[in-house]
Amino acid sequence: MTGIARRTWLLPSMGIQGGASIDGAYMLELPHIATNPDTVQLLTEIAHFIHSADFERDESTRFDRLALDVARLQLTYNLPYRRFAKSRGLNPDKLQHWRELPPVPTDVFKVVDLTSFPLGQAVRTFRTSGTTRGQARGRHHFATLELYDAAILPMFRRYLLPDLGEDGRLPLLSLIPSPAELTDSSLSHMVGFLMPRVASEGAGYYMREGRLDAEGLARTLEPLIKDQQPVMILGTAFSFVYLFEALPGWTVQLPAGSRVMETGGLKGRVREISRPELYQLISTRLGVPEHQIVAEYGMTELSSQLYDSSLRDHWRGNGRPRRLMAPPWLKVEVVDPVTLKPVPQGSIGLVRFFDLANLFSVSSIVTSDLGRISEGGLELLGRATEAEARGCSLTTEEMLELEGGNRP
Amino acid sequence: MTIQLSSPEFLLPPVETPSPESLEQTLTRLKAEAPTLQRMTGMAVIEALSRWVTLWLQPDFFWRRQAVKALHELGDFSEPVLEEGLDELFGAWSREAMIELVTWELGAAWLEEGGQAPISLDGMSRRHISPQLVGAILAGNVPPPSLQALMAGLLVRSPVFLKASRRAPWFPAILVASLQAHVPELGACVECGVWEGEATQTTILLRSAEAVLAYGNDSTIRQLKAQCPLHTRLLGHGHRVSVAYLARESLLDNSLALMGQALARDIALYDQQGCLSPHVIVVEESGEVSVPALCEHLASVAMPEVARRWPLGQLSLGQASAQVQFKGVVSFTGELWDGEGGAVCLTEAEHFEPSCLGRVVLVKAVSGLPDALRYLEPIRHHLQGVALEADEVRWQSLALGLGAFGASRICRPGQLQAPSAAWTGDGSPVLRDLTRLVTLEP
Repeated sequence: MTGIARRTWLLPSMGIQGGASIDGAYMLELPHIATNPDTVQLLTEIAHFIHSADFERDESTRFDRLALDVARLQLTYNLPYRRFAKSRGLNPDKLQHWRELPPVPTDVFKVVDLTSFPLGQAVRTFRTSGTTRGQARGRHHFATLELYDAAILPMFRRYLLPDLGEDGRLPLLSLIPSPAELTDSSLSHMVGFLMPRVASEGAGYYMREGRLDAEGLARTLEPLIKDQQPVMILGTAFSFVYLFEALPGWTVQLPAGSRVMETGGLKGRVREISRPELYQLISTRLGVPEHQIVAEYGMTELSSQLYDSSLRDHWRGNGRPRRLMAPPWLKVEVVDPVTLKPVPQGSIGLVRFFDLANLFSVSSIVTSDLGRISEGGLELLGRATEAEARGCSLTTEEMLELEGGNRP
Repeated sequence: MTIQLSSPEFLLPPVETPSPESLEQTLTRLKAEAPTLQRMTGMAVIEALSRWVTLWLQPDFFWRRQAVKALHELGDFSEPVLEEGLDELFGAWSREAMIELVTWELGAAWLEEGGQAPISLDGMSRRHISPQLVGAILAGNVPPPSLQALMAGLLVRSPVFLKASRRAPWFPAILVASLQAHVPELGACVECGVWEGEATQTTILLRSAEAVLAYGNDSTIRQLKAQCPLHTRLLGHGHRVSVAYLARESLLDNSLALMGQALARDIALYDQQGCLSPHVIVVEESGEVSVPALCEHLASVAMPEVARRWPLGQLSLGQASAQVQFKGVVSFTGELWDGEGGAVCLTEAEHFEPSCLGRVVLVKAVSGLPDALRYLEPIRHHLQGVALEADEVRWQSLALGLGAFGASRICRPGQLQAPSAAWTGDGSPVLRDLTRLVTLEP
C-alpha cells in the first residue's frame, strides 16, 4: 500500500485536475513496476521535478541525480536493455553517470518491446506512423501515463501560450485526429490531453476517419474571425498542405493573437516543400505572422516534447533565430555518429536524448535526426539519410521497395 | 557548369554540363568518327586498348594518380582501397582477356577484319553490325561500370559517350581524358559529360545512341526504359546484391585464417558499395568451426587485419547514422561483433535483409542450400555474385544451384571484387547485345 499512498500524494502536487485520467480503481490495479516502493519513489520524484522545474535556472544537478537513478532502474528491470548495455561494455554495477548509458537507436523500437515491466501490464502503447511501405512500426509501451501527461502542459503553455497566463485558453482547432480515433498515436493523445485543459469554446477535431474536413474548419473560423477571437490551429506539416490544397484560393486573416502549432515531417507526402516554404504558405493563407507559428518536435519513442522558441522569443522581444527548446527533464545532446560522444557546440551530429519521463522504457535514445546545438537550443537539420546510393549495391531503402522485400 | 574539386594540386579534366545543342553537336561528331573506328580490325582496337590498360596498371601513371586523389577526396574510399580496386579492375582487361572475350562473343573473324566481320560462313553468313554510338548512363561512385561501359563500346568499335553521375563524375572523365591523351585514335571516339538525370540531355542521348548501357537503381532503369525510343537498345544494369556461401566442409580450423582474410577482402574493397560486395555470409551449420566462432574470427582478426591494409573510407553522416541504427537493432535481435575493421552481425531473420554497408556484414546460419535459397528468396531477382567455398565435389553442384536460383557470377571467396572481363552484371553478354545482327542469305 505504500506505493498507492505515495501516488495519492503525487496527484495534488502535479496539479492534475479531478483525477481526469486516474481513478481509484485504476490505482488499485497499478502494474507491478509502478507499485514497487522504490520505483514509485522515483516516479514521484520525477513527477515533482517536472511540476516544479525552473526553466530559467540550470537544473542539471537535479537532472543528473534523477537520471542516474533512472539509469539504474532501467538496467535492473529492462532486461533487453541491460543485455544491450552490457554488450556495449557497460558494467551496470559500476554506473557513475547517466551519460555512460549506451543510447538505444530509435529503429530498435520497431523490433523489440523495450519495457521495464511485463508487456501485459502496459496501460497504453503508442506506435510510430510507419509511413514507408513494408516498414515495421515502432512501439512504445507505458506502465503509466502519469509522467507522459505531466510533461505535456508545462512546455505547451510556455512555448505556445506564454502571453496568456496560467489559465489562458484558446479555441484549439485540430487537424490531428482525436485520441478516440487514433488510440495508438502519441500525438493524438497529446492533443486529447490538451483539449480539456487549454481549449475554450469552439475547439474541435477536423481530421476524421482519415479525411480532412477543410470546409468544416473554414465554417468554424468564420464567426471566430468575425468576433476577433484568436484561435490556435494544430496540425502536422502535411495536414496544412492538404488543407490548402483542399481549399484552393481560400485565404483568411486570423484574429491577432492567433497561432499555429506545426509538427511532423513532409517527406513523401503530397509534395515535398521546405519548412520555410510551408511557414510562408501558412502565414499567407491564414494571416498569421510567421513568429506565431511554432514547431513541435515529438517522437513516439519519447515522453517529452520540444518546441521552437519563436512565439515566446517574440513575446519577450528576443529576436534570435528559431531553436527547439527542451524542458529541464529532457537532456538533448548532439553526438558524433561513430563514437556517440557529444560533439563540440555548434558541430553537426546525431540528436541524442535522455528523457526522465521515459522512466519505464528507455531514457537514452539516439535518433537519425541531424542537429546542432546553438544559441541555447537545438537546430534540427533533417534526417541523416543518404541522398542517393553511393555505389551499385542495393540499399535498404531500395530493398523496401522490392516486392516481397522483408524487413522487420 | 564545370565541377571543380577544392584541392589546387589536381589537374583534372573539367566535367562539363553540355547544353542540349552542344550535346547534339558532340554526339554528331562522335558518330562521324564511327566509320574510321570501324575500319580498324578488332585486334587493332585491342592492341590500342591494351597499351592504355598497361599504363593504368603502372602505379605512377599520371591519370591514375589523379583518379585516386579525386575519388579519395570525394570521401568515399581510402587510397589503398582505390589502388587495389584499380589494379583488379584494369588487371582484368589484359590483351589476352580481351581477345578471349571478343572471340567468345563476336567470333574470331571480328579480330581480323574491319567493317562487318562475318561470324559464320555456312551458305549464309551472319554479321555483327557495330553501333554508330554507344551511350552509357553511369551512377554511383564505384569505378568498374565506367570502365566496363567504355571497353565494351570500343571493343564493338563504336564511339562512346559516358554520362557521368552528378555526384561522382571524376572517374569517367579521367578515363576519357587519359584515352584522349595516350591513345588518340580511340580518344577521338569518346566523350564524357554530366547533367541531372531527368534533363533534356538524357532524351537526346537516348535518341542519338544505338545502344545505351544504363546503371542505377530499379526506378532509374524503369524510368529510362520508359523514356527510351524503340530504336535504341537500352541495356539496364540495376543495383544488385552479392553474398558469400560457406559449405560446412569448408569451415575448418586450419583454413579459417585464409578464408577469413578472403571474406574480409571481399567486404573491404569499395567498402561494400559495389554490386559484388557481400551483404551476408550464408554459412552451413555443423562445420568444424562453429558459426559464432567464424563471426568472432572475422570481427576480431580478419577484418581488422584487412582494414589495416585497406582502411575504410570516410563514412557520411547518413551512412554512420544508418550503422548506428542497424547495429542497434542487431544487438537486440541477433548477435553483434563490432570490431576495428567492421562489424559482423549474426542474424536470425528468416528472410534476407540488406546490410547498412560500410563493412557491416551479416552472417546467417542455414542447414543447407534449400534453406539458404529460402532465406535469399527476397533478392532472387537482384542476386549478383556469390563467393562460394566448398570442397571440389560440392562446389560445382552448389554453384549450379545458386546460378539457377539467380546469381550471375560464382567465384571463390576473395575473388568477388575481381571479375573477369568476360563477366557483366545480370548475366547478359558484355559485347553481343550492343551490336545488331544481320543475316545474309544469298
